[in-house]
Amino acid sequence: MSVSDENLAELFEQYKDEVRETIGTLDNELVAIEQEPTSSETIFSLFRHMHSLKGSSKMFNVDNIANIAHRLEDLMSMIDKNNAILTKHPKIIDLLFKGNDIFRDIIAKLEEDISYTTMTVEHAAFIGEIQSQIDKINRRDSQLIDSARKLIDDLEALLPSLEETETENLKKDIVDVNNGLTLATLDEMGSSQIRFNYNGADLTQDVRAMEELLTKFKDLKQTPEDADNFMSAANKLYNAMADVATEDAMSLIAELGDGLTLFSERHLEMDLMMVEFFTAMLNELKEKFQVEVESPAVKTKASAKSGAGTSKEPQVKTIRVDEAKIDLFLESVGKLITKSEILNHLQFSFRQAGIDIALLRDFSTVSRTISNDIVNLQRSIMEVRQVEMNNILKKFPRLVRDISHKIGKEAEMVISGERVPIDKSLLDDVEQAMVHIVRNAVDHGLETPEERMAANKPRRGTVNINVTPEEAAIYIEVSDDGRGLNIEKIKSKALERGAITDEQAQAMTDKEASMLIFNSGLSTKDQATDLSGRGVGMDVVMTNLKKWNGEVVVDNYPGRGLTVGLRLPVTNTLLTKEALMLRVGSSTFCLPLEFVNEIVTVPAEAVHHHKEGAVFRHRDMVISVIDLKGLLGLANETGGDRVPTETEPLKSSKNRIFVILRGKIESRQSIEADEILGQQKIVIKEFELETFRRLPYFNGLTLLGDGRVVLILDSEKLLDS
Amino acid sequence: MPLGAGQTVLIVDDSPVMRQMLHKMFVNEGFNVVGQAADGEEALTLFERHKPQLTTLDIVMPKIRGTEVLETLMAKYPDSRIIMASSVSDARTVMHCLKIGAKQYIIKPYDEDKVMSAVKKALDLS
Repeated sequence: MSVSDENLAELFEQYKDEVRETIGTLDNELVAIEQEPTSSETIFSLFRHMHSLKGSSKMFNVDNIANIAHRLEDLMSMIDKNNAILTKHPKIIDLLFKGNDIFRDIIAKLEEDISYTTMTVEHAAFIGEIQSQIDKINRRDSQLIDSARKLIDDLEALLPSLEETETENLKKDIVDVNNGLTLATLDEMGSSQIRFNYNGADLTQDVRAMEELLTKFKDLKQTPEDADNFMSAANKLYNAMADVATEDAMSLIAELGDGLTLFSERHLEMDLMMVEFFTAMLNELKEKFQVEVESPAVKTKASAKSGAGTSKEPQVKTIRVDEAKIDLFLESVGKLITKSEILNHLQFSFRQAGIDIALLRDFSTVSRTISNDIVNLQRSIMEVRQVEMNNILKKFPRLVRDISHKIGKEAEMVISGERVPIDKSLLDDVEQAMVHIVRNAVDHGLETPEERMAANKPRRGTVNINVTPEEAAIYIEVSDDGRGLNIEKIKSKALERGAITDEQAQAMTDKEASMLIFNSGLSTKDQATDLSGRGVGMDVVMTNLKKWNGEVVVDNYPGRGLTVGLRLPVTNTLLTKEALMLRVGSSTFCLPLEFVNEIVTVPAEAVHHHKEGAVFRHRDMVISVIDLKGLLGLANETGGDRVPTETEPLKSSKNRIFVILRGKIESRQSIEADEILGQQKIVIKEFELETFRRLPYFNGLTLLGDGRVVLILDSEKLLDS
Repeated sequence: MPLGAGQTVLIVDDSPVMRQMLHKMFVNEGFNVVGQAADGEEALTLFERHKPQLTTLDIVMPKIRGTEVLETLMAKYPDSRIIMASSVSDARTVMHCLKIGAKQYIIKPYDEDKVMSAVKKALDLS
């Protein structure tokens, strides 16, 4: 210590210089904050200076400055967290000026009298002023509580004169208000009135023991054993709570546990810091507890943190499950579905073998029930993978605010459908797509406030996001009330860049032209130009949507706004699909039903063969035939002048079967099948081997009930061929 | 017997008088103070330059806060021996710093005994 004392004396002059410098800086910053009371930079700087003053003054035992700076630091810390406070309470600035004058006065007096370091009456009174200002901000206004109490009394007096239904409602309201009051006044009541119950376990004694020990430490009255006693009490509490805790308290308990571990591992001493740490932890835990107040005045039960209002909502119990486990479970369900197909297959074999009809019917019923159960099982486990759209949507109000501020526009964000569920795997792609659409809506869609006023529109533009669940899809609509798309300008830009030809431009409908905003040639990031209403990054929207078999629709209202709709099929996230089983030549393939538009039978002579391939006429449309056999290399069976092989004896030589495909755009293409084998539920397995992944016209394989492996046709790839 | 044997030390604090004080404590105990930084930015620069065996780190500072400095240093040099020396006594900050790798945490006001006791533990000196 002797060295430190010498140091202190030597350094004291420097300390005073430092405080003088700080006082000068504070004066300037206070003038600045008066001009701009919300400047977070100045607020933080003021906080930092109070903090430093407190720290160094404590070191030199200048208690008066240390204490005042400490309280002013608390005040600044509150303002730092909510920089609207200074605007609401402008008197705080006067208080800060006064504080600075007091600092100046103390430093001046210290020059004369080195012992002028203790608190005077004037200093204490000033700290009182700061405290009452802090109380005002905290609105721990006892007046408010009193008037609420009075209101309750009045209402209760009214009760007898009211109708019965009104009475019920009123009673409920009274209970609510009362619960709120209990929470508001918990701090004011002696802690001895409160018991701590956690999921039925009474932990009051443990909490009490810890509190007593903490007080001893705080007053520096601890004995050497007390540190050990405290540690064992804390450990006991920790263990007791770890046993009974629910999820919300779990993280706090984990933190307490971490704290215990860290403090013992690093050999940190049981000093004031540790006391503060455990006091804070304990207080938070107490808040999370089910608190039962034993006061005769207020006989209500309330969950301390969440407040009375939420306690009416039914409790949803949650457990944490590893995502990998869910996927594993899903895989097992997938296998079950295949097994149930075996049952279907068996049923078919039984029928062929001529088994007793009644027996067959029983078997069929059981088989169907199992199949239904499995589908339900799959559906509920898929729900586990789902999250609410809010996960994405919550970011948009901020995004719209930031963009519009930056470019001098005024925009309001209106959102609905936050609770619509979406599969987790879609989240990132959907969010990215939506960010591009919303950004473009504000950036290019909405006009400046001046332009809007001139067009007789409200000054402030609106961007709407609306999410609706559909039977087999999620529909996300982003609309704005801006200027809409300029179709002619889009067409000319597209022509200019060679994205479309003159003839195409002529033939294009407005609707088709509006889809050009998603064309990668027109809307890549490096060509960040305003494409008369839309542009940057919209190609990303299309890429992301395609990945999930989604579709995009655009509704343009020139001068009034634009609506972009995204539709994402939900079935896409399921592992099973209904599929059509086809025989092509000697091979069997399946084609998911979602890609099937229609199955048509056409007389052989109605199919015309051109150089480019076969076509036929169906409902006044010319349908072309994709040469599947040629594409798949079933070469010897290719061609129009085909000869029926042994494997297709049942096929009529007169009629040919075509499956018209369904794509994202209206399709006039079909594939030919030699036989339709039926329809069944398939479990899609994605290719795991690289060799298979390179197969051009398939996107997976499935296992049939009879054990055969069948490839799944990918209609998108076929349509692109 | 001085505690140190020429181990290199970096002192980070925005108050010159606090730096001086710590400087004197370390020099008296036979340490080699290789640098003093007045803000978080300077702290990172000087740390890169000297790779000190021990660092005392304040938290509330201009430019970059001490907690961020700690995060950056621990991510890049996980073996760093850093003592937080601050008047921030908020439980979460203390926990956070210790969790991400600060060896010790001392709260102002501290005296030479308290500082050296923390230094001893941080450097595993007996």
